[in-house]
Amino acid sequence: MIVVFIVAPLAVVAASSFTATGYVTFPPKGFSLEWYVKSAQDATFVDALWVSLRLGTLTTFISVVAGVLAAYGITYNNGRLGAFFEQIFLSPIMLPGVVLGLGILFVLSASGWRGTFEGGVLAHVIVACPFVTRAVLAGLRQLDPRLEEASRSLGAGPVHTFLRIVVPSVRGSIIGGAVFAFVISFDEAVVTLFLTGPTFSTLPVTIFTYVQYSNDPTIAAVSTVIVVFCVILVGLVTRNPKGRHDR
Amino acid sequence: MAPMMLLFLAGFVAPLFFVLRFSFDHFDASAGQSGAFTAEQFIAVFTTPLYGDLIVRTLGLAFATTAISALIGYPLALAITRGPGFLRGALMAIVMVPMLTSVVVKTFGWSVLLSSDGFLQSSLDAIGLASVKLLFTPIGIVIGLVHTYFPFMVLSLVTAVGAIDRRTEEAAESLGSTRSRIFFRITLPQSLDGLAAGSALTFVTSMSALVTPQILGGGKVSTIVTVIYQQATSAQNWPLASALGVVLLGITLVILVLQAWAVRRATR
Repeated sequence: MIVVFIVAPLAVVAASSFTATGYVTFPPKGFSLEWYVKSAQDATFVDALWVSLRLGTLTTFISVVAGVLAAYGITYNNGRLGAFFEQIFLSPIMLPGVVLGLGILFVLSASGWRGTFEGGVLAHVIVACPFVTRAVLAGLRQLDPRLEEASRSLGAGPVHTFLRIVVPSVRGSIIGGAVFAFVISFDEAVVTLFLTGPTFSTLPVTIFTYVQYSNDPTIAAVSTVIVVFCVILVGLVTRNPKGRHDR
Repeated sequence: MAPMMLLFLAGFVAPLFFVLRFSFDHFDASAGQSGAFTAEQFIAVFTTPLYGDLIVRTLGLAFATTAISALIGYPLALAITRGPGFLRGALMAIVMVPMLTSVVVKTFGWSVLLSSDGFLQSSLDAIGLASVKLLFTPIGIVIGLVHTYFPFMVLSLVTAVGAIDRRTEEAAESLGSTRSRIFFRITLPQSLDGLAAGSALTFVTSMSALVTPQILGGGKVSTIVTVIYQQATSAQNWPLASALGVVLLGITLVILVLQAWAVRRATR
């Protein structure tokens, strides 16, 4: 019963993407791949997919660099200061997305970056980065501190130790956090809704806009592709035993 | 930590500052913002019945979502922690599915399922409940919200139920306790901290949802968040949007503080 409840809306989207009718209906009538062809030819969706992929990649890259450094900084400053920054850096997880979206809209408008890709990157990094920080923090806390001490006592500099000892040891956490950051950015629709404009729109925001005004099976086809893509991505990482072990 | 601090200054501290500042500004539909410093937005929010209803409706939707999530979360959490190994992995994977799929896609699926010519509405009509409508009603929104946020509840309950010493339950069973008595006397009291954490998370996140009430409410059912979105984008009334945002943030903080206080009390 609960399983049906969980899977039902996704099954409906997937099934209705194959309908032969010109509108979304469940159960679907007939079978057709027309909507997949249409979605691949529709410049709106293709452009939005391209934006989402670039946005996700850039967000992931920045989030990993900033998140790893922040997590290292937090564990390095063991004590009040570290705990304080941990609270601050993880707080966007609990902040309502609308408030963040509203605030970033104001900041971007004030600085003339409203409706730009760069503004989207800033917003997505704030949303995704805490998850990288949290994953890497968990990894670092399991790390034996003597490993670093040994490296330092053998004459390695702090930067060398960080890059050659610390980072490789928490590789699994970093990869897990990175995939999470990408999926969050790729699916993000709340904060982004405040920031998109005529020249900048992501795939979820485009679908959101379409769903409200039309009943076109193309959306079902695009949605199905997104779900399959994200499930495969996460599936790959959770299968990686190293990644699972670190979390 | 320096790069992170810069990012946070630009993307977190500054935005919050702007929201707070704009919430005290004056707005005029023709002249826009005046840069004044006034509490008129908050006075409007707290004295106009329209916004009072809005806040009550938003809290009601979040409360219903949390309660239903707890009701379906407990059996699932028990099955995951107490059930046989194969069931455990399979159920966990299925619970994670809504977390991994885009909220826009899920909500789109629900809008098809709940629509007036859809399977669920037709079934309701067939059994004489045609007056109960699903799409563009609070019922539809709660269904969508539960689907999106109940995994948080399950994960939190799984941790709490998993930490209970099973032997206490076995002892009660061998002494002749019924299963419902065991649940209410042993399992539930010992997993209250997990229930509190899961409830706070489910409540806060479902209260802040935008996509689900916007699509499944279809403009006929609004929440604090959908009004913020409309005021910020189409109406361009940023001071009112900010004031509502501050109210939402305030409610969020109160719930998180209450939850932290409840956990501290329980662990002492």
